[in-house]
Parts: sequence; C-alpha cells; structure tokens
Amino acid sequence: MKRGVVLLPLVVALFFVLARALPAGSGPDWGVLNPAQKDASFVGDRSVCANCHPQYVESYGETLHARVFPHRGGADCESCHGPAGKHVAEPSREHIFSFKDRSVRPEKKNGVCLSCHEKGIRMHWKGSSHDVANLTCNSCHYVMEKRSPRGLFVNEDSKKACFQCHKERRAQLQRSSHMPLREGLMDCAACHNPHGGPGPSLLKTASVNETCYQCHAEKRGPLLWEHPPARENCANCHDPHGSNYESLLKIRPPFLCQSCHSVQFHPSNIYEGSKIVGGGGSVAQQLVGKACLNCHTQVHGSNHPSGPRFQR
Amino acid sequence: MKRKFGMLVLGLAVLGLPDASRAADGPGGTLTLGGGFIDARPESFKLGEYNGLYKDKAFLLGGADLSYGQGAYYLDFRAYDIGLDKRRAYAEAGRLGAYRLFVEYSETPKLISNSSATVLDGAGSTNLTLPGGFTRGTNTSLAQMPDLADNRRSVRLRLDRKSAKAGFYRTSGATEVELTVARERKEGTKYIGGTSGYSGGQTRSVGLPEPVDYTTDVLRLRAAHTKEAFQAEFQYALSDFSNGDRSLTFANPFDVDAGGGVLYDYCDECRVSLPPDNRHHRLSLSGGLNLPYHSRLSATLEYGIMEQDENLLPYSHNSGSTVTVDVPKGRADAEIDVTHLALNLSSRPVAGFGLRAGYRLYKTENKLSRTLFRYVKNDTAQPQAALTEAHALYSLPYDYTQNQFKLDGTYSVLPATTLRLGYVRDVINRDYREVERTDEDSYKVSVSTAYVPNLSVGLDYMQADRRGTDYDESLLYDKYHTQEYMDDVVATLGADALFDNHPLMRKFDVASRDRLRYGANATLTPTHNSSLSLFVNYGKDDYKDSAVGLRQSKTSSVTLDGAIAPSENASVYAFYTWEDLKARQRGWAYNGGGSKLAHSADADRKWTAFHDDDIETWGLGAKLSFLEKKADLDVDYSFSRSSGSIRHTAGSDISSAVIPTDLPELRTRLKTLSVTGKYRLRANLSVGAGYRYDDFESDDWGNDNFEPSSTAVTNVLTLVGPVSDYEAHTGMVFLTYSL
Repeated sequence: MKRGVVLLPLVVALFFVLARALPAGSGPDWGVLNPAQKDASFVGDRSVCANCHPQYVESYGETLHARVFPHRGGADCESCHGPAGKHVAEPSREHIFSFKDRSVRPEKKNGVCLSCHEKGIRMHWKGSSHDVANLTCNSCHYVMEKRSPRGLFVNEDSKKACFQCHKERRAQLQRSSHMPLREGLMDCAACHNPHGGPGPSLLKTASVNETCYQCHAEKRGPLLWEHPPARENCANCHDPHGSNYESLLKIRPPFLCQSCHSVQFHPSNIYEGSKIVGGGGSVAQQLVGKACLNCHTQVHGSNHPSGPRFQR
Repeated sequence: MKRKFGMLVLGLAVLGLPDASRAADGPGGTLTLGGGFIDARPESFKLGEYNGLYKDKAFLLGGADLSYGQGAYYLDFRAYDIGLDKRRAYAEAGRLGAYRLFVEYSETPKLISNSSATVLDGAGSTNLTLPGGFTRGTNTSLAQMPDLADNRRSVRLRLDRKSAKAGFYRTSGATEVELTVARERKEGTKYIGGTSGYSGGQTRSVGLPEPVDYTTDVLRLRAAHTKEAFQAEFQYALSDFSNGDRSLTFANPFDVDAGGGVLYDYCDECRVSLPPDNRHHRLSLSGGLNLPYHSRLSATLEYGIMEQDENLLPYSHNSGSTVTVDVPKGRADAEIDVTHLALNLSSRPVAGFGLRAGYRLYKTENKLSRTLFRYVKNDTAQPQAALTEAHALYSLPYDYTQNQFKLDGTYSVLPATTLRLGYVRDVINRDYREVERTDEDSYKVSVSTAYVPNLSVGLDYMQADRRGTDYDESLLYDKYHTQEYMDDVVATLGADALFDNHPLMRKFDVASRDRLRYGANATLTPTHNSSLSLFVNYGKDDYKDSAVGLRQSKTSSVTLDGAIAPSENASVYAFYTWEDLKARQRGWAYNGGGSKLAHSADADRKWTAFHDDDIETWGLGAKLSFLEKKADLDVDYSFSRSSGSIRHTAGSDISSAVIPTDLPELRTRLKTLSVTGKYRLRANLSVGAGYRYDDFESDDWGNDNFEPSSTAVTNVLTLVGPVSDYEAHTGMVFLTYSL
C-alpha cells in the first residue's frame, strides 16, 4: 500500500507530462482514408449537402452532432465524410468517404469516429474483441437520425443493437428470473462497455464481482467468513442474463450447492422426487422453499462470529 | 407522491414548455401524457416485478424528451414513466464544448412475493415477535404447533430503490474534469432464513421478513487529457455502503422437549446478522498511445481497497446460555486490496492483417487475519460447555491472483474474408483452496466471410483445457480446523477420516475442465431491405476428473431470425430461439461418525442427477405507417416456454427403499402481446392508444402445493409462497405534443 501511495502520483505525473509533450493532432488524414479526396477542399456549409441529400440533412439536424459541431469548430457533414469540394463539383461516391461502402475497411471507418472519440469509455476500442471482430461504429450507432433518446443507437432500444449478434441474450431476457432489461430499467451498457475495456467479457469494471457490487454493495464485504466461489466470481452460481430458476441461479438448489459440497449426512444425500411436498415420502427441507438457503441463508458470506456455516 | 408529481410538472414547465419569447433555436422535443388501466387476474407480484403494476389499477402515463437551446447553451430534460413506481427523470444543462451539469433521479421497485406468510409480528422491523399465547413446538405439526393456522398472516416482500445522482463535467481544450456524486436508498423487506438448534441434524429454520435499510453513497472524480496520439485518464471512485440495521432478532416458534429425554432447548429469541457497512476506494489510471504502423498501446492500472470494520455480534444471542468465551476480536477488521493491471498492444501493420497481445493481472490481497472462532452453530439455550478448540474454526483470508496472457491474429485470406486465431493462457493462484494453481489454455479459430454477395457466414471454434495442481482438500481442511479437532478425528475414526467433503469431490470452479465451444452463423440479405439469419451454437464443459460433483454441462442453441421492410412504411420481424441446457452431477451419500469411512468408500452409495432444460422463445412484430405517415402501428408478440427435468439414478446401498422418483417438471410459460397505435392529429399533436396482454404460468415443486408457514414442512416454517400464474390486460391512451 505504501509503495502504491508513492508510485501512483509519480505515474500520474508521468502520464500527464507525456500528454502535454505530444502534439495535439489535426484530425483524420482524408488523403489516406480516401485517396480520391486528397487535396479536396472543405465546403463548410450543410445546406450545400442538403441540395442533393435533403432527407438525411433534415433528420441529421435533430442529432447531437448537429448541435455540437457548430460550437466545436467542426464542419458538420464534412467532419465525418471528409472534404466535399470534389464531390460537389463532380457528384460521385468515389469523392466522398462513405460508411456504407463495404469495400472500406472497418478500421478506416472507425478511425474517423475515433479522431474525436478516442477517449473515456472508448479509449480501449483498438484491440478490443469487437474491434478484432471487425465491427464498425455504425454497426451499433446511426448518426444521421435521432432514433434513441441517448447514444445515437441504430434502434430506439439500445439492447437491439446488441441483439443483432447476441441472439441468445435476447431469448434469455424472457426467462422468469431476469434483471430489469426488458422493463427498460437497465441496458446492456449497465454492466458492459462494448467499446472495450480492461475487464473480462467487456465488463465496465475490472472483474465480474466489481460489476455486480455496483448495485449490490451489501454483498461486497469483505466478510469474516468468505464463501470463496462467491468472492471470486458471482457468475460461478448466477447467470446474469436470465434463468428460469430463482435469483438467476444456473442450477436449482440443492443441486447447485451439491456441485461442490458432499459433506457427511444431509449435504451428500440424494434429493429426489419422493421428498417434495406431495411426493409420497418425508419432505426434505433441502428441496422446498429456499432449499439449502432455508438454513444456510448467508451464502454470500457471513460477518457473524458464529457464521462459518453461513447460517447466521 | 403528489408533491413529487407536482415538482415534476413544475420542472417540465420551467425546463421546456413552449415559450414564444425564446429565440430561434428555442425549445424542441416531445411531451407525452396519458393514462391506463391494468386488469390482472389474479394479482401476482411477477407481473409487476419491476414496475409495481401487479393488480387492478389505474395509472398515469407521462414522459418527456425536451430540449432548449440558445446558441451554445442548452437545457435537456427527459422523463420516463412518471406515473409508475418505476420512474426516471434526467436534466442536463451546459454550454456545448465547454461544460455540463446534470441531475438524475430514478425509482425502481423489486417485488419479491405477494403470497408469503409468517406467524411472526413486526415484519419490516428488526424485532420479530410471536403473537401472545402462541404454542411453540418441536416441529410444525398440528400437534406441536396448534396455533399455526390461526396466526398465519400474509406479508409482502418488496424492495424500493431510489437513486439520485448529480454531476459536473468541464472540458478545456484537451483536458476534461468530471465529478459525479450519487446516493441510492434501498428500502423494504426481503427474505432471510433464521436458524436455531443445537446440532446440524436438529436445526430448525424460520423464513423471516428481513428489513432492508441500505444507503450507498458514491463519489467519482475523473480527470483526463486527450490528444490524437495519446490519452490519459485518472479516476478516483468511492462507494460507501451503510445498513441502518445491524441484526434481526426473532422469537423462535420452535422450542422443545423432543421426548425420549432429549432436550433440544432452542433459543427463545434468536438473532441473525445483516449485511455490514463497507467501503470501496478505487484509484485508476488509464492511458493509450497511438504508435506507428497503425499500432496502439493501452494500459490500465488500478488499486482498490474494500474494507469493512463492523462491530461483531456475540457468539450467541441467548442471554441464558453459558457461553463464556469471548469473541477474539471486537471488530471485523476486514480488508481486501485489489491490484489490477491491464496492458494491450494492437497493431494493423498492413491492410488485412492485425495482431493483438494482452496481459492482465488481477490480484486480491485479503488482509483479514486467520483467527480462531469457537462458534455456536445456532442460537440455542444448550449449555455451551462444548466450546472448546475441538469445536472451533478459523476464518480464512481467502484471496487469489490471476495472470492472463492473450494473443490474437487476424488475416484477410480472401476479399471480405477474415481468419482469426487466438490463444489465451489463464493462470490463477489461490490461497485456502483445494487447488493452489490452475492453468488454462484456450485456443480459438474463426472465419467470417462476406465473399459471396448478399451472404455473410461465420464459423467459430474454441477449445480450452484447464488443469490444476493436485486437488488436495487438506490445503483447506488443515487451515480451517484446529489441531485439537483433527487429533480428535484421528483418535476416533483414524487419519483417513480427515476430510469434510467426500475425497472424490472436485469443486467445479477449480476442477480440471475441458471446454469446447463452436458455432456457425449465416445471414442472407437477398435485398437491401430484408435479411434472414441462422445462428447455431454449442458448448460443453467436461469435468472428467470429478468423480463426485459437477461432471458435465452442455448448452445448445439455434436461432432463426428474419426481417423485411417491403416499403418505407412497413417492416416485419420474426425470430425463434431454441436452447437446451444439460448438466450431469454425481453425489455420494454417506453418514458421519462410525459410518463415515465405510459409507464414503461404498460405491453403491453413489447417485447421479441429470438436469435437462428445454427452452423455446418466439418473437414476432411489425411496424406500419398508414395515411401518409399520419398513423403508426407497432405490434410485438413474444412467447417463451421452458421445461426442466431432474432425474436421478442411485446406488443400491443409499437406503433400503430408494428407487429414485423423478422430480416433477419445472415449467414456465410467458406470452406477451403489445399493440400501440399513434395518429397525428396536427403537425405537433398525436393521439395514441395501446393494449398489452400478459399471460404467465409456472409450475415449481419447491413452492407450489402448500401454504407458506404451514404444517407442510416439518422443520422449516417457510415464508415465500408460490408464484401466482396470471393473465393481465392493460389499456393505455396518451397524447404526445411536439414542440
């Protein structure tokens, strides 16, 4: 800890000194992105574009970009499509940078967006799993029309951007035990940063558990009696995308617990159909109600001096 | 509630309603107001789990998406569902490209049960009492607890989360500073179990309504410097959790002379601990550097401290007990420090070729001291003479360190065709676990192509092998138990009996594992406005060395997905997903004492459970515009059905009469139909109506077919009742005004 206290400010200072020393940059090199636009001049007037693309320009006018560019020294349409001088003089697809053009490599398209947005939550895009999979910014975002309240997503519901590829997640959300995504109270970005990050599975934080603790801080502890699999990874037992078992559990208790616990007497017993209410045999408390959690209720760990069995 | 609504309306008025005096860029956006009614048969918490609409009720509909601009200055206001228990409002003001301020408020309900029942009074408080004259008993039978039925009363389990957040962001050239503060209150009642009894075999449990009184305060400070070639960001985050309740005491319905001269002497009043206050500090430094050859180096370094120092409760709550041993420390003094380092180097030196290398270190350092606690298993009035070191356990400072290395390469083998190869080595070292170190090697290969016009195809394959150092339960057992206890076991049963878990058990999170994943997808786009996709995925985890425990899990899924937009006024979509989840686990039933060794070696005491979940999900919808786009109609239908079976086989020695009976099918069905129509009356005014149909059924043998807190389960007074099936019709009308 002491070493950290000394080292961290030093590293912070080094980063910012380096940041100051480097040049500010001058935006995309349009001649490299699209050689046909080399030496083209900027028109600098959205209304010129509207002469041929009125619908696009009209809907674009409602977007955040349209609001911001005039105050950031940007050139509206040409900020993303490059200098349009040649295109206006000789209208052709060749003379403008097009995000629809499938022959343009994804990193070129993304480079245009990153020239302004390579910071904050998008700082780790390059090398992220979505980048490696050749996704482009416009796979999920549509900047020519305000379709979503925030984030310029391709659809009003940002989840549908993810469901374009993650089809199983869409189905999982319909399961009985689920987080409030289908009710619109959360979206995928509540836990994930699709632009990449240092955490596993594109999570926003450094670990699965730190992500869960954002909303479930009461389970963070640390506690006197830790349950190691729970401390290491909530997803050992829970499926956060939905389950037909209570509390997003992957397997129904007591069987989930018996995946790891085969202690003498009741933890090792077989719990079969005769032991439920109406099953014909004597009812096992391990099968009904909260199953094992009827008694071992502090399964995420206990802070009670008498809590090693997670009962109190 | 009325006051809050009034404030929201006032907020709307101030923030964005039309104002003729405003300048050209002025106000914009939409304002929606309306109402609805839900008809639910019967009422079921599951229907309104996250919006509070679980029974017949009229409700207000309201929302806004408003903005006001004046040059570079702007004001945005958004509100959602202001008439429902789930409601949100967000306001932001600022100067474009310079600064912004925001405030946000949200409420989120979480309904847990509306069919729960308890015999205890005081639900919602930290002291639960029995009704006067309640006869306590050994078990829940009518003979033992004759007053049970008369005193059972319903209790609603529900949590309400209220969150307020405010922030400030300022940018000046390449530098950004951001400060966010938030407070979240979570209140209500949920479930917790309360146990009592002297020994494991005689434990009784009462389902308790647990009071929830949580407050979490969050502070986040971010400073960043951004240039085209280099970006750096520093963050500090604090999350401070406090619980208004430290413990929950309850009068025990169980108390007993069990007959036969055996007195269990359950506690009259018992106590269960509640989540302790805790804090989390996190410092983070992140940076990225763009290098020549289209390369980038990025890094994140984080240091976090999770700490908790709550006063510890006594070993036993029972004032009459003879517990004389002090708790070894007065406060928890628990701390886990987290170090996280992530390095990533990516490069695309030539068109069509890319490389990525990554390293991740995630290390937890548990500062808790290994301390001996002479614990009392459950609160009990039994004399505590047995609180010797032979009946004590050490609390263990479990921690782990992950070192992960990644290497990926991509190459365009043909036009529009990419081959990807990947390798991951994941090494995790753990303290106080049965396996000190696991090493996992993962290999991935995938191909995606759009070589054929209008068709894109992808194939992917992944294989991973996780192996560990020797699985040795003594690594945990010897640290957990006292030497006196182990000497006692050796003296009584022999050295071979020094185990808690069956010697062949392999806990699945550290067990050797062979993992296989593969999938294929194809998307056909015959025209620019239509697509048809097929996704197939398969996964298998094999735990071949796990003779006891989870042995295999498999997942298969198929999705068929189609969409077509025959004109700019019509679009239709449909999808179908089938999933099959299978798992197989083995147990070994054995008793303790003199039977422990013989039973745990008897192969005819093995049993196997087979889990099979079959899930289908359908979706169908259309979006249509009529009458020169004056009228819009949205229709969405979804249907999800699951069935789960659990079957067993068992060895002949488990008990004299065991021929395992299959557990009944676990079943869920959910149908939802939603139809929304809007008609534009004027350029800036629309009227809309909506209808929603919900139909839910579930069968769950764990809670169905018996009343909570009833005689049905001898040793447990359950709390939570069954999930009610429901059918609900919801109608809505609303007006939308565009500014």
